[in-house]
Amino acid sequence: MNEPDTLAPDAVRDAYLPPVKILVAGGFGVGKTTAVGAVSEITPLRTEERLSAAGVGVDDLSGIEQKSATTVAMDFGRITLDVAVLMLFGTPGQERFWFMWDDLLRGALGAVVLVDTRRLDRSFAAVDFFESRDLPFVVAANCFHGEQDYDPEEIRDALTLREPSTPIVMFDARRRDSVRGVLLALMDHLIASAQPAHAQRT
Amino acid sequence: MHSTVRAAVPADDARSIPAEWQTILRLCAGPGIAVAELAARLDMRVTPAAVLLAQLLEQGLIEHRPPMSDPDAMNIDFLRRIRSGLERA
Repeated sequence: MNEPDTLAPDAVRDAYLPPVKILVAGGFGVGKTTAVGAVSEITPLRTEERLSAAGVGVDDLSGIEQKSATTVAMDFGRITLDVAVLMLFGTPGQERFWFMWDDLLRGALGAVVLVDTRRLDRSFAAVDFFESRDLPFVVAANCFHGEQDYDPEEIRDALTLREPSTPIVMFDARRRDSVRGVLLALMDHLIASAQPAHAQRT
Repeated sequence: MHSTVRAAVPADDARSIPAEWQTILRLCAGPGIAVAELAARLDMRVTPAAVLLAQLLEQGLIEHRPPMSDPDAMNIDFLRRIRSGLERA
């Protein structure tokens, strides 16, 4: 009676697609929610998690008061592909809490750091965080105001990116094609990083 | 938060379980749904939702799948398939 096979209707059950986690980070007001919403196949959802020092598994809790528990909110969107489901997590802006949040990075394939060149400093924390934890990422400069005052190399210098190969792309967070282009740039970066060093492509 | 879950049995075949569990089975009847998404749809925070899901998992009502782990994810063919799927999406 509990045999799923005999209970299954005639229709073939949907394949259980592997989930792939991608983080969309950047400071307050740089367009994370807009970008996730533009590319997601579902209306983006807001998901909440309560972080507390007691439950984070950090060895050294010196200086963290119990009352530092806080609620962080993430935007969630998804894109179902034939081979996987991309899960997009718009990270909460409270970067100062990220360090006590192991789950944020666990299982993440890569990240997109959104920047607004008029407020680059708002994205420093995300860049530092991913660099220090070796999570590959691309930098995407939001041009929804129609223009950016800086070119990619100037942005690279201003962000003092550690990896010269980290791509910097210009995009419009409101446009689906444009956000998808950023994700494609991330995939290209991951593919290039996965190439064995001795097997250069031409 | 980032694992996905999927119903192991159709909700209609599990009438004797609590209504809340049936709701969950309906929500995760497709190709897998992220715990984060399920929590949002249930209007719950992620941790309580995960506790609830653990009960369903224990009963064999759902299965779960973590995100692609690093060695898997770094499989270049898989990365290329994601890229080409994204291009067509």
